[in-house]
Amino acid sequence: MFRVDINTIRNSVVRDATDVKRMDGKKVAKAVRLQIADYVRNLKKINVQPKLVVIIVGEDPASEIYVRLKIKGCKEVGILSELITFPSDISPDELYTAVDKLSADDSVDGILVQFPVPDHLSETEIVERIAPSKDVDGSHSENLGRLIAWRGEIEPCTPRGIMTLMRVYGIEPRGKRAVVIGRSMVVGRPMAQMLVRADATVTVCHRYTKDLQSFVSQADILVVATGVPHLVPGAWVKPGAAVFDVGITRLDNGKLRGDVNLEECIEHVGKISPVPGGVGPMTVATLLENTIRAATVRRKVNLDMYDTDNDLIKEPERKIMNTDLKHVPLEQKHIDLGGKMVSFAGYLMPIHFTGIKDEHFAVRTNVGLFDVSHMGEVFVRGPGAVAAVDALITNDLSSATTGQAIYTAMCNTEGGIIDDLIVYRMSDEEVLMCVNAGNRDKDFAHISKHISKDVILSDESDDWVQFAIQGPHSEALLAGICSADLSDIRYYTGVYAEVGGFKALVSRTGYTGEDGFEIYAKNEVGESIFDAITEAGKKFNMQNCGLGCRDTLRLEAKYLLYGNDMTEDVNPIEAGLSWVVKLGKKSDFIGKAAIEAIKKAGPTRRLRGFVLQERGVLRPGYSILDGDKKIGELTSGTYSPTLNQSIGLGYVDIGSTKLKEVNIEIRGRHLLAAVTKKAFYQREK
Amino acid sequence: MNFPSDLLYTKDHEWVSLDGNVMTIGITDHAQDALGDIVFFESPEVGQLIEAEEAFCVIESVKTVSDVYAPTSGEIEEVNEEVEENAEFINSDPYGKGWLVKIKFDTSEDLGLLDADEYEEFLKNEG
Repeated sequence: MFRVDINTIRNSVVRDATDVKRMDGKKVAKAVRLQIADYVRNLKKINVQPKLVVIIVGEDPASEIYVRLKIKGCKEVGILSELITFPSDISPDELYTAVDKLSADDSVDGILVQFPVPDHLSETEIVERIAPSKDVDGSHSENLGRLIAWRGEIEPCTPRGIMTLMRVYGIEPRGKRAVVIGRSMVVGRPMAQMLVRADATVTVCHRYTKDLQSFVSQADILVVATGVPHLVPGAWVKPGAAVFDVGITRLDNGKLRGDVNLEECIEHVGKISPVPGGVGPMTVATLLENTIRAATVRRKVNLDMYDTDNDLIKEPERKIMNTDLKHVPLEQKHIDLGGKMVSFAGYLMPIHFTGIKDEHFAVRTNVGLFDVSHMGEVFVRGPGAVAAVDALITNDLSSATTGQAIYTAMCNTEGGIIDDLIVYRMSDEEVLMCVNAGNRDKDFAHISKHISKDVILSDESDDWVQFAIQGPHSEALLAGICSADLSDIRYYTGVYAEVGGFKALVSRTGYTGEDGFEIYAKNEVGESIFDAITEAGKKFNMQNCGLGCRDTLRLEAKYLLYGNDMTEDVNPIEAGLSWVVKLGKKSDFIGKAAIEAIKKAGPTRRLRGFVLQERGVLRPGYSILDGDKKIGELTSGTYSPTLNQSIGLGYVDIGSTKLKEVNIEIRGRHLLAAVTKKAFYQREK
Repeated sequence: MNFPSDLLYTKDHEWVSLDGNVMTIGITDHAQDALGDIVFFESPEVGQLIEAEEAFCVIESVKTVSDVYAPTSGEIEEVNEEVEENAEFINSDPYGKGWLVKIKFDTSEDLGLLDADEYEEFLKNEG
């Protein structure tokens, strides 16, 4: 789903800002629109054309200006827009029929009725008539309900735009006192909800509030949306407060005025959104954002696997300067080695050095070195560490021996996969959980919420590097620089040892389908170990490898990728991971009851592999067809260098899992693919 | 990177060579490098009419899908069948064996193409 990349905007807008007080909504909105435009460009590549329909009833000059702004915004970012104007005497039924038709029209992603409408029409009725999935104003009661349930997908534009501004300008609502003046359905009420959700303590003031000043003067965050020009005198504003002025009134002299007297408080305010140029532009940008969200949610598009950063246009050097990515310690080394860098899970990582195919074959036939330091390391220590972790994971750590690693899923109570991870039982009192980079924060929050309070939990992801040496010559290479006897390190075991003279955890694991090792070490010794491996690798003609071939290698080996083949909407049974679910293990674990029920009832779909029989490349999101009937979607897809054919994974409805052949729809064409349950590649042992 | 001075270029990172009312197009060295290992060229049909700026064929590398945009309106005159079989020619020889299609076009149109220097300048500013 589309999410605004706050850090990029912060760096491009805030860092260079000359005015430290006034928040520049115009600039931030423009940056948001650029990101949306980028996203839309990529949507179009997979034949998704987002479309917004704006309905206007009668002729209201003010409305026309707003509508024109919205349509212009759509054009700028590549959203198709259509303006439908009805006469002011249209009957309610005629209007509802029109809205119903748009709600049912599959090509329409967003419907917006510009208010006000003439008196004989009910705004509430109209809004309720719009399909909630297309209600890009977020005003439908279902969307407002979701907002209160903290499960909002489409939320009212103005307050959401304000939350974006807050994040861009680093205003943290947690623990702050927030005051919202105004309780309208489009601003005040949803704003208060969002601030509560963001951990602020919120007071909502309105026309019946007595002694408004006493509330305003306590506000760390003040949102004013009343339409009363200069309702709030500067002197009321608390020194250092962040003020969001939503009101905009045109005075008789033609000037625009906000609800807050900016001139009076500019000296002592912390940050303030000016009128105009503050909140207003954010509202329109957020409408576009909502349209894209509506399009991707309703059409179930997942663009994340598409390499949107590495389009023909951008050069990696530029990214280093302009974005606030996270960095692995050896980033510069990879750039110096000629790595082509892209952002992955928030890190700047090499996608390849000499080429994906080269690197792929190097790992299959010789040996390659990957830096996978973006992966997360969470340690659980103390007596009871093993049992504490066992209560969170589906596999059985209690029956693992010291030094053994297990692959496992970590599920929510519904049995949905929160992450897939490798868990090391380093001792009875130390467990290492190696989690996916993109899930690190989510996982840590989940683990800390649910794990026994008797153990010590620490997220040490930022302190550890991780290198993978993969390929048939891995053992010979590592043997020369490792203090441990590698023949003692069996598949899925790990020991603390020295590599190149520096302490590390050496484990016989990997994500390539070849023999190999993963080496965990503290940042301080990371470069020394990397250099030692590089030096030892010379003799073997070792290849530096990027994440590009990691994907082709793992897919050939039919290893699942979180975010593609697994999400929280996927359970381990349908994903073919029953072998890591130990329902009979000693301890109960989160999700056990749900998984038992799924196993009993049988899954509704199953993961299958596909080998394209014609020329072309499978990609995630493509439809899987039995004849013309859609039976599933691909979740992964790439070109397999080993097979010189394209391969993919996807979920197939349970009634169709026995098919030997299916069609895959690629840009409107149906291409034949063979179905397989096995790995696409299996190394000879 | 190599940008032959006898070719013209588009801002969509394609190269163009003109011969009367027929233009040959391919993607630039910069484009093939950015895409990485190219594995598939989905060609248009000979005789197909295309509109300027339309995405009229597709190149897929291992890592991504990329449209190729028409530098002009016209008719597809010829498709490089060898590249259909060996998409890696686009990487190894983008200006030679890696050409994509020939388009018959209306010579009276202003194509707004860049020469090699202008394209390199464009890349610099864009980068």
